[in-house]
Amino acid sequence: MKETQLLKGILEGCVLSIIKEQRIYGYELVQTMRNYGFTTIVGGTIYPLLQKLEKQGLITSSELTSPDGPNRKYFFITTEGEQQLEDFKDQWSSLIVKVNRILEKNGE
Amino acid sequence: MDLKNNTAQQLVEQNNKAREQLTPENKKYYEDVLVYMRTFGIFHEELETERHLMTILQDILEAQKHGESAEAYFGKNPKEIIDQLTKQFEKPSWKSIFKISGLIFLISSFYTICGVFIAPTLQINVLVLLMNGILSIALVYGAFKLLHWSIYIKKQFPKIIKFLFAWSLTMIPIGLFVLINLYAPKRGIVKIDPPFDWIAIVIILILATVYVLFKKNRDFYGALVYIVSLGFFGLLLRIPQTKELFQGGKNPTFLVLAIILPLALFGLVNWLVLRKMNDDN
Repeated sequence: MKETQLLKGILEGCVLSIIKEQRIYGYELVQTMRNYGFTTIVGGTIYPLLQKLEKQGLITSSELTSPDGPNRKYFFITTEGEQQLEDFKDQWSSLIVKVNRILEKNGE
Repeated sequence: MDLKNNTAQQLVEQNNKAREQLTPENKKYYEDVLVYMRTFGIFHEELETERHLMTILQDILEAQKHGESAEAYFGKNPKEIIDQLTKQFEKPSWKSIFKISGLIFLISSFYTICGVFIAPTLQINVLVLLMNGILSIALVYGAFKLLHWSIYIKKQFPKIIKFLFAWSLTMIPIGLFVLINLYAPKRGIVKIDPPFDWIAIVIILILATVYVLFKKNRDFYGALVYIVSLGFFGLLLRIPQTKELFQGGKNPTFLVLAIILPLALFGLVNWLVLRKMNDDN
């Protein structure tokens, strides 16, 4: 797996996890990611990702009135998305364990 | 207001209004995104494009409200981002390809037919009609591709190169249309003899006028004035009472007037409509 693909997969997992917590629109999502420390995230990273997740049926969208300003396209997680998120969590935990094992051993 | 039920046209109008809130710098950035995305393909579903454009605009406006520039929010490489988005667009359906090609073909044929109003005999070469239509589709397609490709060209070319490029881009299509009209084989000519020629013109003019007034679409006003004035000259040429005055259309003053005046009116009306639209916004 290429590094960028790995990163993309991780980002997808993070996005699914955030959307699971609350329905969210593009700008909010970018800000949330930045608040978590992904300070280099821009809208341009997020939009194609959201589009892909929606095409795959992992999230769905709906136009709703936002508290301030015009109607917004909000994203929701689907059952398939929740399943995918669980898979991601498993893969991520096992990856961390393996990577840490290597790093700790070589750091000794 | 439920955006999901909005048509592409409504989204375009909302976009035009909302875009005005952007700062000059952000507007430049966003409008490049807009043109680049809209010119991605003429056969693609407009609604999908417009929904993406509206989402991006709303988010950039919100970023702007929080003191962040469009570039800082959306990214330094808008071209790559839009390429990624458009790559995932639904492939155009055959239905939409036929619909859009057909529309261009119809418009092209309509202008070809109106063009012969001022010819001495009302006749259409079906082969010319067909070739003009195909050329028009190719030209519209090419124009979209060219615009799409030119938006994010960073390289600066010398003025003379730009001028020559623009000049040949205008001249080649005109030249092709002239060539078709001059050299297309004279087969399949449909001729309408007097007095049915002027009756046909009157019917076409009435139908066109009713259609445009019924549609209330300001985009068509220029075209309507153009063909009505062409038709007016065509009628002068054919109605028995005025026919003799113009020597069957061989009078040079008549020809020049009949070619220039409709074009000038076309330009004038479109300019007025554009100004009115800008005032309304």
